[in-house]
Amino acid sequence: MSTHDINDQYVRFINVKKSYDQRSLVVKDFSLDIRKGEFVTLLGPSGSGKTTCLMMLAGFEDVTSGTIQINGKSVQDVAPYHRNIGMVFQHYALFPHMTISENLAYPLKVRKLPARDVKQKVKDALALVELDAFGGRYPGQLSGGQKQRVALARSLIFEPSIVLMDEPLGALDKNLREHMQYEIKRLHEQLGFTAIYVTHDQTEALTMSDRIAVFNDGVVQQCAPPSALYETPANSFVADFIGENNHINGKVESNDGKIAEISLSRGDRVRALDINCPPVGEPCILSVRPENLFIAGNGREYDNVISAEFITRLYVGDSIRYFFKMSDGAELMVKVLNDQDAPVIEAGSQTRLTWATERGLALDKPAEKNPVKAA
Amino acid sequence: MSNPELTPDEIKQADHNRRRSKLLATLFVIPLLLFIFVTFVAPIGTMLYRSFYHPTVYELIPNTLDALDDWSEDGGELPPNPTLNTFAVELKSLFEERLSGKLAEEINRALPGSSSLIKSTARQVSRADTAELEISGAALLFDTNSKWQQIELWQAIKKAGSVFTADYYLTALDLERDPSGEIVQRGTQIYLDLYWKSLKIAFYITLLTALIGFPLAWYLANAPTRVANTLMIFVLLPFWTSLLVRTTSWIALLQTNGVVNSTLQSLHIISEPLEMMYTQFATVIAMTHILLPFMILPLYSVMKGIDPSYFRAALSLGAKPIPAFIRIYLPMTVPGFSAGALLVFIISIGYYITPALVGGTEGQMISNLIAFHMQSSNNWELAAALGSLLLLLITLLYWLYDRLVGISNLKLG
Repeated sequence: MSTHDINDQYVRFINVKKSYDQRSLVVKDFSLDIRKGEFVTLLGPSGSGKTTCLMMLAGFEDVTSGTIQINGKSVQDVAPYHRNIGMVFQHYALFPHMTISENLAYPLKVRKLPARDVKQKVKDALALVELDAFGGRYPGQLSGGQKQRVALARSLIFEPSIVLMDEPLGALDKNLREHMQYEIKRLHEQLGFTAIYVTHDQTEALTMSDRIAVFNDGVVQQCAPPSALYETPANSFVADFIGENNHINGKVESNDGKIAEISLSRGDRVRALDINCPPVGEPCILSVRPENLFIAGNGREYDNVISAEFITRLYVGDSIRYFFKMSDGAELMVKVLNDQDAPVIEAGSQTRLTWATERGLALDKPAEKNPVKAA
Repeated sequence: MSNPELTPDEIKQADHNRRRSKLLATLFVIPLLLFIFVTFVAPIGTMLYRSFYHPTVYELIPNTLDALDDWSEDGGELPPNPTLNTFAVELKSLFEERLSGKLAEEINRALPGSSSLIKSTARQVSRADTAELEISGAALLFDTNSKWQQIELWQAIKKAGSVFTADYYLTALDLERDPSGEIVQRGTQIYLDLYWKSLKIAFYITLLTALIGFPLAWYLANAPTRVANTLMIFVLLPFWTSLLVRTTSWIALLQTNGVVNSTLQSLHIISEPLEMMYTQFATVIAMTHILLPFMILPLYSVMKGIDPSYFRAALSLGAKPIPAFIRIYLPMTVPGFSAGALLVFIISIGYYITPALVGGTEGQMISNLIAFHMQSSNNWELAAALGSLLLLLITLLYWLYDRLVGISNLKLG
């Protein structure tokens, strides 16, 4: 293998399956190549198998079938303490009976580094996370954000080439979370380690990652850079899971391989990009982001126009959300910037909504969990 | 109060509200306080008091002792005749009330050998007339037995008659007063040895419960809920069986022809039955069994609360499992371990029933001797002194624990 390949496939999951009870699979046939130095996020609802993948890579869970490779070598038989992978846990897992310095020195001491080096590295690590004065304190005396920074520093201090983070910011409040996202990003760029990050928070995933693997039900639905994930979701699950989305039920009328024509419940015909469009004649989902759907008027009108009944508007601050109801009962949301043009609409009035063809996505209809029998 | 924010009326109202809620809180606690007072503070207070308050002799011969107050025991002279007359009168009335034996017993404790003297003299003086004794009781005493002319006897009576005494504590510490009043060691050490032995037995039991309890608690804390719940029933099972039944079953197991011996013999591991019953071994093993839940439960509850990610974190940082266990996991179990150890140690050091049933003489503990003085030798004051010293010892251990580990580290569940 050439160097290029090795660096592109620094961490490899090859057809990995995991079952806890030897019957049902938690992770189904998971394959992913991670580049050296990449920041990859595993995103998904809880119970989707993302943490299990992380634990298998760290060596805390067995792989039921398949292979995990690091740097071209299978890690199946390597004990967790020999894998040299840094890990940040959700609840920090700082040892409560050791001071911050002792916590940081622990991985160096088990590696039998000389005391002088340990001292210097601990000092550097504290400086790295801007906690110079906190070395003598115990974890219990630190705030959540400080603890998280220490946990981060501890996972980096022994210079692992891979750092795993299992919902590291889950226990922090919103402001702190944003600050820590920036902090983690800064350290990643500064130190160049390969980061695998697990979260169920899509904003976090979108802002931090080079690539995001969206998990659902043990299967990766899509693995792509944030912009691709947001703009061209591979299926209706991803479209729904990442960001907000309007879903309109329809039927495929025609499809030229690029643009699909869809008929809506009242007979309106609209056109949308074929992303994951079912065959002609089948029901499908038309998905339009709230920021791409506009209230027609003031010279603003695109290829597709439908009409819907205005229900109410929700004042958010920088934006206003307008809610509409289509004749078949589906709700639509339009996000409008809160500037002087934000319209005032009378409740109950029919309003025309419009969007550009390349902003509407024709997607598969998600399998219904409990299909309702026709009466 | 000079608070510009609140008017005097508002302050009054706030004070009133605070007092009301305080009163309400107190009302809730009062039943418990009363209960604790009646069942705990009062008996222990009585016990402490009894260990140095000893009015028996004074109640028997109050007039004599009042008169003896004016007599100097170091003067080398007998008490004056009127005092002796008073004693003779009181001795006569004691004999008539059948209490002279009790007096004899009490004086005998202060001066061994004086029991029969008092009993026989009481018989003699009872035949005399009270009026006559009031005048010539002293002479009658001297006639009955020349020992009444010994100063030591009267010194002993005066000493036995003092209402407050530290003598029981001296006895409990294997000390005594020599004739000159100096505190010296007694020839035979009974009680100190027994305190030491009780400490040792309690230590063995604590060690054993910890060794057995720690792995089990760890397994319970990490097992699947269903398995853990089932096993927990087995841990708690001893609590639902009578203590007596459990102890008696150990007799069945350990005695010479018991289950253990006959099994070992039938397997040809031993040829002669082992003497396990009525030994220190029997006490330790039976009490370990009884006290094991007290070690397991606090350990379990603490281990249950230890996030498994601590251990994983240690592994991911490069520590091998055993060093990680010792350096990371073990220190986190200290609150549960020390709570369990303290419980087991303190319960076992004052344990009574099991050593009494399976311990024989070798496996006796201090509480067995306290019981002996309560029930057999009828020396409640000594029993109280021994009990008070035990209480002091436990308080001392508790204080030591607080200094070394810190009470705030204690976690019972």
